[in-house]
Amino acid sequence: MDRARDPVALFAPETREVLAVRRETADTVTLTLAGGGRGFVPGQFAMVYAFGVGESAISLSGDPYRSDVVEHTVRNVGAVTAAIGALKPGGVVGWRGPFGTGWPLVRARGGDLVIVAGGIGLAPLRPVILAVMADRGAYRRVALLVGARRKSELLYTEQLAEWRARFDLEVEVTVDAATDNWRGSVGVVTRLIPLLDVEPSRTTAMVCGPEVMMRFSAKELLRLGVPSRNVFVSVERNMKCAVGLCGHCQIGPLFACHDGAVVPYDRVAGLMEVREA
Amino acid sequence: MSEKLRSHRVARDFDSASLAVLESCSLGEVAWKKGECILTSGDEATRCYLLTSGDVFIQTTPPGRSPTLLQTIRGGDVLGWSWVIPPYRWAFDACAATDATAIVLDAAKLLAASEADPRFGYTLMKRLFTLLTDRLQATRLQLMDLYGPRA
Ligand SMILES: Cc1cc2nc3c(=O)[nH]c(=O)nc-3n(C[C@H](O)[C@H](O)[C@H](O)COP(=O)(O)OP(=O)(O)OC[C@H]3O[C@@H](n4cnc5c(N)ncnc54)[C@H](O)[C@@H]3O)c2cc1C
Repeated sequence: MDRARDPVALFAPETREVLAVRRETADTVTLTLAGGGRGFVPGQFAMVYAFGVGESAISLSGDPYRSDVVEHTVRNVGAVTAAIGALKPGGVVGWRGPFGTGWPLVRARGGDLVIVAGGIGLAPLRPVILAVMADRGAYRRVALLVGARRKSELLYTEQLAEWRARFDLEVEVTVDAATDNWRGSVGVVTRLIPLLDVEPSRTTAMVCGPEVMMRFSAKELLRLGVPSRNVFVSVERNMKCAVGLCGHCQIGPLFACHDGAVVPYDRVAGLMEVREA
Repeated sequence: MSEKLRSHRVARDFDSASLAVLESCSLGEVAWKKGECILTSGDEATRCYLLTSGDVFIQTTPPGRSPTLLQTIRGGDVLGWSWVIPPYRWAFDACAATDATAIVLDAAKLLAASEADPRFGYTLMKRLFTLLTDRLQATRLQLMDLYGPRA
């Protein structure tokens, strides 16, 4: 039976070996795991299981065209992510996926594309950038806006430098606090949005980061004139089953794992304003 | 020049009469080289700059230490608010982060024109207030950990 439709397989993790671990920041690593991403679409996630500790939803952050390995960028915020982040090459994790919806790359073709990432939010967007670069002619202007607390909390710094050197990609990186001899832009990522040189009515925007950052970014994009149906966010509510059954990740009528994580902003705008108890 | 002024974010929503007054307050354009110092805190605030290109750092220099960068402002932003209210002294330093250009407005003329023509003054203040509110909101977000796991 097709694994994607087999309910038992959806809950049964496969074992994957850690091939490499790259430290991104003090609390974040990128793991390379053996085995392909089962044709994942940028924006999708897997449930990664740290044996004996628990399972977490972690986005696929690597190249969607590679069929031999997957990458995950993990920020240590609690027991599971600490255990995953402490793994060494040769270690193993449980893995099931890919799950959820992806970023609307097909729909974005032929127009301008704005990618807004805050903190760990760059992880699920990295496959988008890699996919866009492999098919650059399909899009008009492409802008990547990246925000981080400080320089030492920026992810993929080498790759960011490579992307910034390209003439067909506008990359703006901004930090809140200009520590570590930072001489680049200082201020929140939302401040970069009003100054974008795009045709708003033909723009698709993909926004990922903590909810407050996504909310303020979406507001700026709408103010710029980007239609709300063209603004997409990734709703990363804590989840358990990942297949739309348990309701752990429910936001209003949506199951983030099943209807998302990537959703049009107009479907969640009201819900993102609601405080969780 | 007048085209640049008309298309600047500050002049948005200005009718032709208000635009004409704004233009009469212009002292022309200025260009700065990367690293050049533009404003020094404590100096008299006699000008308002409408940035047209490039980036400028707002910074402060604690005694005996190197400057702390507080915020970057960019083409389309306003540089300098201290000319609006007493004691008309710059509160922070500003330096060109990249080569940058701006339209220079004469602060005394802007204030005199606002007194003489309250319609113009109100339009100008509403516009400045909008941009200042944006800057304040961005500063608030900058103070919280917008990208942290619990934001
Ligand atoms: C679709 C999706 C994709 C994700 N992708 C990634 C990724 O690529 N990299 C990554 O590092 N993390 C990602 N996460 C978040 C990750 O799943 C959680 O950080 C993890 O489950 C926390 O488990 P823990 O046991 O380490 O911490 P816990 O002890 O469970 O939680 C520690 C703290 O983090 C908070 N927290 C837990 N989960 C979330 C969440 N989803 N959003 C905000 N706060 C949360 C908790 O409220 C608590 O305060 C993703 C989440 C979702 C739903």
